[in-house]
Amino acid sequence: MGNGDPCTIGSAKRPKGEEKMIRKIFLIIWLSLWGGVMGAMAQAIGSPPQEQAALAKIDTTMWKYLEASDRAQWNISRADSENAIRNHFLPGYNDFKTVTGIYERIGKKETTLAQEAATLIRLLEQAKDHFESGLKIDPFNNYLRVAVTSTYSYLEKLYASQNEPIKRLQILLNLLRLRKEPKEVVYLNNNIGLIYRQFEMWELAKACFQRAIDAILSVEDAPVDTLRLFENLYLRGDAQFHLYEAEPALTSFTYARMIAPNQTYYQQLTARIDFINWDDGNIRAAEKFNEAKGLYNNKKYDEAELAYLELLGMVTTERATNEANLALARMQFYQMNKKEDAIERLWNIVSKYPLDLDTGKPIDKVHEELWKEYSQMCVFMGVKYFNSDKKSSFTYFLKASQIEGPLRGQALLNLARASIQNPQICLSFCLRALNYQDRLDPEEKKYLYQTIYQAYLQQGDFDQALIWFKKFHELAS
Amino acid sequence: MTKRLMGMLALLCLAGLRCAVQQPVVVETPKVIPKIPVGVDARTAQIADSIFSQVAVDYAMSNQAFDKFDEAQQIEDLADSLWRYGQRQLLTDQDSLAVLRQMSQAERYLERRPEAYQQIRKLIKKVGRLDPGVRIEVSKQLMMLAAEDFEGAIRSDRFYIPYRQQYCKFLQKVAERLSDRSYLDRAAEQMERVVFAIKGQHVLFANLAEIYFKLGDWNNAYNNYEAAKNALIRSAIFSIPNPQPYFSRLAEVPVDTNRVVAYLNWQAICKTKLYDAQPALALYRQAQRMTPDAELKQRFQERIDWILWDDGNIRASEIREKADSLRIMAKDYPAAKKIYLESLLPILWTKRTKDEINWRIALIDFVQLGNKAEGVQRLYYVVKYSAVDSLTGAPLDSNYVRYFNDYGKMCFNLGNEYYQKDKLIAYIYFQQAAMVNYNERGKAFLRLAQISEFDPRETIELCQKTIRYADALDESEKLILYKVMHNAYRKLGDFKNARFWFDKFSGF
Repeated sequence: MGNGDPCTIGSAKRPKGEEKMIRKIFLIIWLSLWGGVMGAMAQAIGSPPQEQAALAKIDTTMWKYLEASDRAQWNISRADSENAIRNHFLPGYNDFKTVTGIYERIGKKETTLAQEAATLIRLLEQAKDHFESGLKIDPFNNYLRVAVTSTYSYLEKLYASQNEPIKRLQILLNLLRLRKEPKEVVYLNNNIGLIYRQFEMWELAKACFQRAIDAILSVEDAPVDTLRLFENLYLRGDAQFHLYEAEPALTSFTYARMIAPNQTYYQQLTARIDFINWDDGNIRAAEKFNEAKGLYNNKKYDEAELAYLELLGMVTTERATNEANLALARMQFYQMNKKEDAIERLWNIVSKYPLDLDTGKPIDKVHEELWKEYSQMCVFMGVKYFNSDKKSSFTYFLKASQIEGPLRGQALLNLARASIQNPQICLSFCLRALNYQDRLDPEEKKYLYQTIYQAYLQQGDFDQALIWFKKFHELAS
Repeated sequence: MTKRLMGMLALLCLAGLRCAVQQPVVVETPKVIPKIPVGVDARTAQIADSIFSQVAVDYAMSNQAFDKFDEAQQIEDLADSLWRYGQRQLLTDQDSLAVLRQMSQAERYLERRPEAYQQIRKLIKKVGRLDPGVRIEVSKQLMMLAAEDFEGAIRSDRFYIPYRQQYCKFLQKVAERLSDRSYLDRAAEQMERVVFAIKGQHVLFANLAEIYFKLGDWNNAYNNYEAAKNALIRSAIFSIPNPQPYFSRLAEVPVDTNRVVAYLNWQAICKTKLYDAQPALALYRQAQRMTPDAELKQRFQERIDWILWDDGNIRASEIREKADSLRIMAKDYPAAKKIYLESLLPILWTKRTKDEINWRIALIDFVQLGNKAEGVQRLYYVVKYSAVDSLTGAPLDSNYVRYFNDYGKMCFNLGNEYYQKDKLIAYIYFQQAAMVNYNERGKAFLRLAQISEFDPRETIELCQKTIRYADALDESEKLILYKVMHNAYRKLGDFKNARFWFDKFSGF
């Protein structure tokens, strides 16, 4: 993995040869990260302006000195080296020594450290300035390099404890130019990535997590740190998710799930995968669906309805379309009193999926829930119209009676109730309702038996009427 | 010019040809497409529509039916009221006012029947609003109007039974008022439809049976009363408040006995009308057993007796009833005799009833028509061929006592009639009367004794027979008896006995 970092939106100047090399590295990163810098830029532009401005302040001037490797390309005299030691290293070292003294004094007491943090930062910043000035004169001076590395390390930790992400990012980016050990590369990239993540700069974050993963996998002589790998895979997936890169995100989450350290993470990842897969990788649609559901949960039904309607313009798969329509129809039916709209919406969907006329179940089991909900709505519509429009009510009950659903018995019972003036037809509905009597509550069951004996009575079949009359009284008692 | 003309001709021909081949305009009758509720397919809506049409009507139709029915009842009330006023004179000013008010109300209704309305207007012009004939005519027209409304209500909601029930009652009333059986036919048709659909309500069967009864369709009336009774008994358990204890003892389920008895009675009447004596008797006996009402029991017994008068020959009982009615109520004896003789006697099954009817005819002849010889002769045969006690000569059948009595009286009376004219014939009649065991036999013996005065021994013997039946003698006859005895003994020189009878005579 190259050393380049996509975070080059600063205004640092580089030597010409270096610039070419960096461009190459960029290209490699570009290709390896399945994404484009354009996306990152767009994401960066999308982040809040205050943070953008802060991130824009990242100083990259030191990077060429920190990354310097070929002494021949630099024209450094002995006097320069001595000057760097005398005028820059030594004053900086004094400050650094004061810092180590303070650290020795306070030991590991967190509270005292917090009290001293301002002093420590001030001293370390002074030391850092001295060392960086020295390095600008002689980038190859080992004293200065070691000193600046230590200073950066202290500062990075202090900024972390003081919640100064921008300043910490600056230090981490500088440190990244100095430390090349895989473990350190993992640590640094991971933390840089987390800061970018914090500012929702997903493209940059994704690149960092990718570099961390590469570094983990590059270790050949030791077992792979699966926990770190899991973390970075997850974070890479998350960044990809936010970049709406469904396929890469799915890959990241799937790998991460394979090495999930516990069941909770496993389940979380499964949920994320399902989420992405909800509309076959149409993450924006899945998000919209979530948003609509959230609005529904907060009882903002009008807004939720708008969200659902917007979502229906976005979804691509049949399954997601159905689910969105089902959710919208349910809300319209049960919460918004738009029963006609709801049942029509659902009918337009279920009518596409044929029913097995014998069983009343959809031929494809996948559509069972849709049909079930539709049949329930039909029953409720039947009840709604029972006292105002008998024929419509009858039609809804008849429709519900054709569908295998929890209220099928109730639908048949209501049909029987509506047909009581024609005992023959009434009985035919009653006898069918008997097949579903386990779905009726005790009162409904009683009512069914009562209707049966009354129908037989009307038919003049007193023997059968008596049988059901007895059953009715057995239930009643 | 010719070309132009030819062209015009060609155009005309083409136009004519087009007209000739033009298809006739087919006016398609619009198919009734059921309303499809939102969110349901047309097929289901169609099936639902088809089933629904067999089980109920929508609220709109139901309301329409109710309005029609309500109006029909209002018109019926008005017609009833005018009919009642039509049957009597208007006695007070209030009556007249009420009639005028009802007439104007009726006229408003009748505007719906323009022809009838015009006729009524003419009639009113001719005889005035308060004429009873007008009231009757208006009432008739209102009844027609009410019938239309009832039918409208039934058409709108053919499932609501009370509309038909009420309509049937109305039709029966109209049939009775207008003496027109066709209304009963219509009522029967309506109720048939009802019981075809609903077979568990005894009242509906009873309603239908009643209509058939009025129509004289006894078989159908009987069958429907049977169905009503059956439905009443078998559905009894369904209407009692706590039926569980009876589930294992169905025979003990309390039933509305009065209704069962009423149905049995009507059934028995139907069977009687069908001249089917045995079932009628069985039904009356069943009703008699079931009813706790003593008066009803007695009435049923009378019916049983009536049927059994000629051993179940119901026709004979009917004819007898008719002739009896002529005889007793109308006192039309020749007509009664004619029926007894020509219609009844030939069809009688039993000797007992034949004897009874012969006795009746004999009485009419003897008493009412003055055909004494014919009468006595007829009764003679009745008495002659009656079974009697060999010792006493009394009839074995107590029913015959009256025939014997009447025959004896007839002979005695005839003897009396001939007494002054022809002693021999008189003697024969007295002799005949004395031979019959009848309640006034003593009188016949006395008359014989009187005639035999020339032969004292014979006289004494006859007097002694007279004494044996002295209960039938009145005071004067007893005096005659004592006197005749006294004379006979005196003639024989038996003064002791003569003295005895003289003392009796003097002491009396």
